[in-house]
Amino acid sequence: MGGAARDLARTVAIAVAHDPVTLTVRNLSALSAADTAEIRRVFESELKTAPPPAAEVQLTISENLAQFLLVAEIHRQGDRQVLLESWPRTPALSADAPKGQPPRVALEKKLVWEQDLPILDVAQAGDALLVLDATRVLMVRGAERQSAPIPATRPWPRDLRGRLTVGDTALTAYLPGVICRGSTAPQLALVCRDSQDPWLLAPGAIALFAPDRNLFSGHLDVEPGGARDLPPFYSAAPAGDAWVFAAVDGRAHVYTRAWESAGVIDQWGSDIAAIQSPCGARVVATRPTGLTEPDAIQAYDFAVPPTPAGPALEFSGPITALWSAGNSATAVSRDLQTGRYAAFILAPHCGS
Amino acid sequence: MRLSSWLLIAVLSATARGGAATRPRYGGTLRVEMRAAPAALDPAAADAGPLRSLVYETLVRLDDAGVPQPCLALSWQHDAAVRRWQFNLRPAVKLHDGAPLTAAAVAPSLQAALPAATVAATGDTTLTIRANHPLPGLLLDLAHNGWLDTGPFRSTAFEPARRAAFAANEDYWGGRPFLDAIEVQLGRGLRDQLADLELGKADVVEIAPADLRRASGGGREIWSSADINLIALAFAPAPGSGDASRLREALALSIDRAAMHTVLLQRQGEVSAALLPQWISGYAFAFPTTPDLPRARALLSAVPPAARTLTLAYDPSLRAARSLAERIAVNARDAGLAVQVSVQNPRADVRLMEIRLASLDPAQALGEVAAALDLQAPEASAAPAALYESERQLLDGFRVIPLFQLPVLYGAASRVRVYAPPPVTRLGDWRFDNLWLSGTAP
Repeated sequence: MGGAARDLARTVAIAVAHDPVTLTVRNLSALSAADTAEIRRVFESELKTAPPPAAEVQLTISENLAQFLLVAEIHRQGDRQVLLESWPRTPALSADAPKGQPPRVALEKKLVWEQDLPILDVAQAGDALLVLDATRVLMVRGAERQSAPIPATRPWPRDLRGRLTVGDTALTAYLPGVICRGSTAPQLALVCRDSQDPWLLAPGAIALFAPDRNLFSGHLDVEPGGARDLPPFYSAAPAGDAWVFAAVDGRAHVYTRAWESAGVIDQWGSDIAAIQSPCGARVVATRPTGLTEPDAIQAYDFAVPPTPAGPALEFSGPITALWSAGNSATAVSRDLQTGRYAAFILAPHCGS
Repeated sequence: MRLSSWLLIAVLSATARGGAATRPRYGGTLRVEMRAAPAALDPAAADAGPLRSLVYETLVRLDDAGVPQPCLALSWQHDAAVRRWQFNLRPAVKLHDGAPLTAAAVAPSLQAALPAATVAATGDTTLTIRANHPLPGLLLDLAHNGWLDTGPFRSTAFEPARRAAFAANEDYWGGRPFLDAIEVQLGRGLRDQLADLELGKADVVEIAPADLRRASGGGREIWSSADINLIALAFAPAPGSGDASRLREALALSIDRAAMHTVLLQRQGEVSAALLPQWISGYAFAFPTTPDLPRARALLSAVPPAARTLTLAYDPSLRAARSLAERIAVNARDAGLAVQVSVQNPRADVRLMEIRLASLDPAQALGEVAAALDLQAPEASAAPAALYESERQLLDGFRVIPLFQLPVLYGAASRVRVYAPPPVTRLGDWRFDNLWLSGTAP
């Protein structure tokens, strides 16, 4: 920047025959006020600005997609001359993701992983963290990283979803039309195959996930009760003696244990999950926001009407995944400023 | 007891309108209308416009900063002299006829698009492009040429200038689109489009700047490209006398762009006396836009009174064309120049034109605009100072009088949702594979 400013200032000085000028500076670019002041200083050091002026120099700091530009328009005795200098834009430094305020209520979130690729789910396996995305399962243990690829035999559906479950050293990764099974010890190992096998919804409940869509087809098998066909849904959560399904009509549908429809809940998003805690089981749900807006996750106590159990957990972007993990839940949010994906463990905090 | 609580919830909320879900739904047919009336779905045709982006793709695509990014080619490298390039194709991509995308399949269409180079398949998924001269701008060329039918939608019907239909490409490498189909009505006037949007007969329509406020009611959204449409007056490329030159300059100096921009264009886009918009060149403001009536009158005083006339033609399908043409005539009259306005008169002295920008690269864009206006091809240089000088020379003599740089505006019905923005790129290409429709059965 300084070199371009000095070069242009010297060219302008020659163009005005080193006569005195009046200088005005305007900034049409993303450069800061400090940069503008520095450019002005360079020009003032190269040009004579003492009266009476023989020319008028209007300096504009501008930009296009690839460069910053300095454009000097010289007005002198009825003539007008335009001189330019430019320098390449450097990639903008990415801002740190805004940190969420510490929750004072039922849910606490703990950031466990961030990456550029969409995170589908995360899971704790002992002292290791497993991260599922469209291409791999990554195992993070301290500074150690191991990854196992997930071969894509066909294009994934848009709004790709996936789920990780772990038990001791065994792990299962569910993706649309694909199931990968493996272990985390002694080394991370994974074998994937095309499969229409159902996904684990909750302990004792499995459901078919549409292989070319972003939803469960509606066929599920719950113990006790057996197989059942319901309308397609995005997510589901057991709620005591009922089940709640976030359906594609934008409503959460409540069913009794006898699979009788018990009504609907509005104003929930399409991702819900059950979470167990010492102070009672809860359902957590996203808001019905768009995918370009910040979202929040709210805990509800299903033993009472759905009044929020506490302030919602705010996120800096939309929630792209929310899954139950027993005593906790996992959530993934896409930062609207950086575009990066962040995975969180949500833990219920009792007594606050 | 717990269940009774749930039932209470259900009773309380059952009558309320369903809330919006955050996850997109698959299915449904998007109904689109547009003014352009292409005679064929030819990706190389100038009027192929956004329809092309539904069906066709190139080896590389430009991101919003104009930087080449992988599309059908995953990676590439070139030798030190930039004469030999090697491209590695994206695996597992299928053409719309089901055939795999191989280097052998790609080479012929690339060869046709790059006649000055030699294209050869050097493997199943690798191909080379070489020439006797350096090819530093090859990636830019490939972003605009060598179209292949691998896109997110397949063409299922095309009635020239009337209708086009598309179906989701189930095998699309980027994932099947949410929409099942897109129906496009071609050659539809802007007023009819707006009426159809308001009546719920269309989901996405083009919007005239003057209709912006009306179109954005009722939960509808407005989508906009960057300022990519140059509105300009263009004189016929004939050898001009001194009087003709004075007439052109006088007309240019008489036009009050700011007033038209405020009243007729509802402040959409920007006033401009440059061929390239400010966001592309960075220097457009250096071309003055303010009228200078005293100088215009002085120029006309040197022209015989009987010669102080011009005929101005406009295409009625252009946005606000008639209003702009009539306003230009009023401005000219204030300077002492009689301008007669007519519709699509092939013998008119000057035409009101709309030229759409097709490249994010300033030098390439300037070349394309110059070609569209029958101006001499400018020197190809990426340096802003040289580019400014080229543009200044193109505008010297006032054969072309730029007026405005306008965005393409779309109105979208409330049921249209965007999974991943933008729905329209800076250059106005459609990214409709990321749209979905609320209220659609999965």
